[in-house]
Amino acid sequence: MLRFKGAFAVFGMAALAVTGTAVSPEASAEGWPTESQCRSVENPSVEIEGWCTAINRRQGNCLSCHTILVNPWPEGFPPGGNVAPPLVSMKQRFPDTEKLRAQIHDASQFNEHSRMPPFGKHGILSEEQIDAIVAFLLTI
Amino acid sequence: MRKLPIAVLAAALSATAVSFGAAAQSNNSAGTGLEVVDEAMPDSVAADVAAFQGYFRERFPEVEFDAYNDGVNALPQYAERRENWVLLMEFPPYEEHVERGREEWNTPFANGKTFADCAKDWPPANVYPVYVPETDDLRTIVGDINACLEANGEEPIKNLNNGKMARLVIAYKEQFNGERINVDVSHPGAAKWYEKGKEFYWTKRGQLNFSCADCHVHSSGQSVRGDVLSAGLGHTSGFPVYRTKWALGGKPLGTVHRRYGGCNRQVRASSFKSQGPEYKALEMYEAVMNTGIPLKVPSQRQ
Repeated sequence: MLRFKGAFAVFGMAALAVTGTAVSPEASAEGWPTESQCRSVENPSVEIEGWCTAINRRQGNCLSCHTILVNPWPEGFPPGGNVAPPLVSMKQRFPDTEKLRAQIHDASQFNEHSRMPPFGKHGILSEEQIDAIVAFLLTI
Repeated sequence: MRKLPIAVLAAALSATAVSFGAAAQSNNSAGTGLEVVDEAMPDSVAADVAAFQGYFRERFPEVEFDAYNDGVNALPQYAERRENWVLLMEFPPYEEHVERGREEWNTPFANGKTFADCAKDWPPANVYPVYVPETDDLRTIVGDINACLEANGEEPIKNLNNGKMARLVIAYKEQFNGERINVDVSHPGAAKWYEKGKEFYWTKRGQLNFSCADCHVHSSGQSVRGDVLSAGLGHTSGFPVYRTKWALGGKPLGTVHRRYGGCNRQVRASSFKSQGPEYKALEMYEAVMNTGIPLKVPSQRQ
């Protein structure tokens, strides 16, 4: 049953793409795309771009270690790992946006033993991708 | 190479501030069969072993020491999936490969000799890698198998990672299943190899900047998405393994160096050559950390 619903969700996304209706920030309020749905999102908002970069396994792959509390969680999409703290209330936890950005860019500057990959310093993500992830994180 | 069973280490491990070096010196034990260490293990190495094993004892108090040779299957965080693994082990997927390896092991070379003739002079599988002072090198079973082939006028096996080489290593090691890992690091040259492997284990590498320890010590038992990270304790005891992920690619068996290469590439580092000095040193360090764990070859892994 769940799987059936999931199939409809995918179909819905595809239909949106086909009719040329962009998934706008408003549309994202109805649901966050899964990793595969991200590929067919047209003209994404910077938040959706950040989310898609964050969950892409070849890019941020944040879900490898973090759970991300977005609501509603995309149906049928596997949850995140528990190596690192859940990404929740980010705006409250990081009143200083630059601190959040710096943590993603190179966590080792705050803790040399950090197990968080230095996404900016090692060129895992571009500066723009990091900006998008920060923008996304500040919405949750 | 006198071995003494020590529950002493085990007892020391559960306590917090204990001088491990001193504990390793004591030889009177009262516990149930636990670690076995080489009496000649240098104090600093014995302390490393005690700290490493003590860490896991504290992290996973419900896991029996010997059970670490079941890899991630032993961890409580894997309990939900353990049942599937138990069922799988009723008809282990590696059986046909083990059979084939035994046949290959017993098939005579052109000169009529077999691997068994070579292996009569080999150390038991649970003490590898073995330091050779004359060459300042480490002997591995993979290396010994190829040396045996060459000594008998046969072509050495080129693929050191899977297939026939893995089957032959299994054919030798399975004869020592249940024997506790006990590598001799008493020679200063051996200790150098050990230190080299230790440095490798704890050094961050690759674009993702992970050390072996980042995942298999500090994050062991935690989930990366749907996977549970295995504990470093027990790592070498089941190799060569039948790995389900490898089976999907058609080459289900792999030596421990194959796994090291895969791990290095996963953190986006360049991998090193199988049987090269980096992985031999790493194998040495891991085997020493696994001191006392019983061999269980082959094993199945995810």
